Amino acid sequence: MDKVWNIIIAGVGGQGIVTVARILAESALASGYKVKTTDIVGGAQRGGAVLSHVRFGDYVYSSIIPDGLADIVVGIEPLEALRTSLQYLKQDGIVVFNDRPVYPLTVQLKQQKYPPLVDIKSALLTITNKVFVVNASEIASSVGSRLATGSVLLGFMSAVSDIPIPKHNFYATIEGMFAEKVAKINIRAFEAGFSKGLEVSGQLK
Amino acid sequence: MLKGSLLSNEKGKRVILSGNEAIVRGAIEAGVRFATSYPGNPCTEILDTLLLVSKELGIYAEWSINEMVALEAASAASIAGLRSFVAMKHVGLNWALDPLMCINLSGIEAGMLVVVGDDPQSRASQNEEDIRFLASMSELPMLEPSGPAEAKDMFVWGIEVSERIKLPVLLRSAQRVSHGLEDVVLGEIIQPNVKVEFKKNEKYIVAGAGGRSVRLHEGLHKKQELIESIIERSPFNKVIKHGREKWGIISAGIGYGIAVEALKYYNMEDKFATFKLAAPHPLPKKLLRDFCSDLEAVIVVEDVEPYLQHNIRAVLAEEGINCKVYGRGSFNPKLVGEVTFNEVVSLIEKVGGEKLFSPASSRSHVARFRQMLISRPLTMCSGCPHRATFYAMRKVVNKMLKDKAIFCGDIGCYSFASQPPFQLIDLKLSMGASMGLACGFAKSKVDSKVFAIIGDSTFFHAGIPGLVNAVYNDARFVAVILDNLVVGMTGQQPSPSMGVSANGANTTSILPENIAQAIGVKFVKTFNPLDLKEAERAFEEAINYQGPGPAMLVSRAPCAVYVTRKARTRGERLLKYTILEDKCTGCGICTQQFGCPAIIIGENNKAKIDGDDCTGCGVCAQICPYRAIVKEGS
Repeated sequence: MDKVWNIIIAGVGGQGIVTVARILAESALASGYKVKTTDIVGGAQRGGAVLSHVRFGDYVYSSIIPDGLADIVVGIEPLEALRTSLQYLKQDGIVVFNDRPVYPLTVQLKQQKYPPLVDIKSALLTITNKVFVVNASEIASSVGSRLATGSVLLGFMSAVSDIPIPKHNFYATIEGMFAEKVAKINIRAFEAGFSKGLEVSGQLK
Repeated sequence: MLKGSLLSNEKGKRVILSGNEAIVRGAIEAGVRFATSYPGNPCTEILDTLLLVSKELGIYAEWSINEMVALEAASAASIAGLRSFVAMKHVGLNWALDPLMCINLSGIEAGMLVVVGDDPQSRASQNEEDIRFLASMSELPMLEPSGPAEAKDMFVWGIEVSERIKLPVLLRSAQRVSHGLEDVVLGEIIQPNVKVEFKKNEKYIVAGAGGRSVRLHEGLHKKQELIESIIERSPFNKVIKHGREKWGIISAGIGYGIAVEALKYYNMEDKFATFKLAAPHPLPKKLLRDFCSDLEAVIVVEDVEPYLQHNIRAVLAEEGINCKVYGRGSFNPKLVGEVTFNEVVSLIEKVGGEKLFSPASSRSHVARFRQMLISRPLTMCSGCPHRATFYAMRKVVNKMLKDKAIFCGDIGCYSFASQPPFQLIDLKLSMGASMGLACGFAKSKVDSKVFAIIGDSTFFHAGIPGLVNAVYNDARFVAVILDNLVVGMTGQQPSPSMGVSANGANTTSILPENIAQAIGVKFVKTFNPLDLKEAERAFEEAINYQGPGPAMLVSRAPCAVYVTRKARTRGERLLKYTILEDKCTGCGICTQQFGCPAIIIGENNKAKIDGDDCTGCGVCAQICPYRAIVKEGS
């Protein structure tokens, strides 16, 4: 089968998962690929887990990534990165996730305990050694808005992986999708994430 | 970007569209001039998207009050000569079934599509259903796209079919189609020659004397042959067969792609022929006969019920074809939810007799980490006025009634109050059911105070008849209308109380309390839930009201997400609250009894407000006994 890229964006409702998936889908189309995506919104309301599957390549049969076949998981929230990776990430795939937890209401009510970040990371390390924890929300705030967290992670992912989408196609997509001011913040966020990704992967080499 | 794709005249251009957006582009290409809808997952974004361009294109688009009215209005437009569509979620068709079972008898004029979003797995719905059964029942063709690109093209073809058979055509768009993106090739936009005219005809008087409806029913049966022949020749049926295959796979919709991917993944394309059906109803009998005649067995891939499996089996039996039909209903039947890659693989294993290793099988060791995956229940947003209402209600109920209370809930964000910390919803069924249930409990003389809890949009959709019933039959309960001026759950579409129509024009604001007064509710009180003292007083008075008839409270404050978005688009900064660390004792009232997601537990068990999430509603400042919560900068 020709290479189909399988990427999942995971997080919590309100974090812009569907928007990040759309940026990725539009950029893949601009790079000459066929694209299919599917969203799983745990409810139409905020606070639930949200997933977007993005698949692109010369031909894509189905929008749904089978269990264990995701090349990359991008987690805008740590616990959701783990949840998604346990089901979908392939052995030795890449997982990039934001270090800022969104606590479920049940944690606030002291009915459940949120797992420590180190435990999440060590669980992921049993699937792959390509686990990247990024202070993406912090970076996004520093370049203009925490709402651009997804763009930071997208930039980072693009730097640490071999996805065949040139940076300028991401920028053109972002410019086409948002008003000027918001586009600028998201491009800065992407750029910051990309630099951070290069820095980290340079250290690995 | 999206607007450009919807309006573009560049035939052949490839653009990214979601299934819902592709349906809108299909409607534009087909020259639709009239569209109605009621918001509901997964189809809400159809009208949301159309509204971006409807004015420009001269298309009338409305949020109707419910799906029944929406279907009736779209039918009338079609009868008057305008190509039309109505979009709704699967349970919306339950509401619209009554007029649908008559409009299928009278027929229509200009092409009309009934777009029904289906939610197998019930990810954002009151329940899971299989709406394909309603296609058989109404004897109307139901098309099913396998993705967004096909959804657009099927819409255009469906309008043409509808015009030919003079009946509405159903289009099933499952969650995976509606909420998926795909590259779509744009087609030509038709500029219809529209003449609005109602040609009177007896056939529209379905409920006539002398068995007219039965004669029309007979006429509908006779039309089935024409419908079947059209579906049989549909360009959306797709057969791939080389002649050497022993087995086959048949599917309609999203399952087709899953099946093809499974065959590719295991290199089994030469062993299984494939057949993608254009429509789950009616089935193309001749094509099925030809496809199955020399196969030993076929696997049917579908969501929820084994609807296709049973019907295909019946067709083959009738045709005398000896081909086994496997599917969801075979081996270890699983008759709920969406079909998955793994399910298809296990059916291929069973039929092909060969063990196949799934992509995930190499990493079964990860199962032990699943215990770390704590659940993430849906919750009301930061600053949600419903939370304030429930906080006041819980306090008053604890004081006056203890556990002598029954809470009949309804469909909307407020139904999350079934969970801790409030637990103020005991029943949650279908749209508007809170009112009818409360009538029944009250008249059963249960030893408890009865409450009906319903949002503004649901009240207008389905709650009013229940309230009329309560007044008429003297049912004594407390009706609580949570009026946040929008349909919150589906993305803040305006509700009639806001006084703004779908396209943003000002219209008459319809207030639930005025309706209550007009129908004779004797106790009616409106309050602002963000003022806790006022809210508590209102609940006390309503609970003390002894009748006749119900007491009605209207808790009114705009949806917090609506407020936040409006401020953001205007470039305004909302007022924020903050917690004085030295005054906070870590008592847990604001976190554990109120539960606003903007308040988190920080170091030393002290509460902390996340400035990005706070919407400035100020309710937490009212509940803090130590006055530790204050306006930022004060």
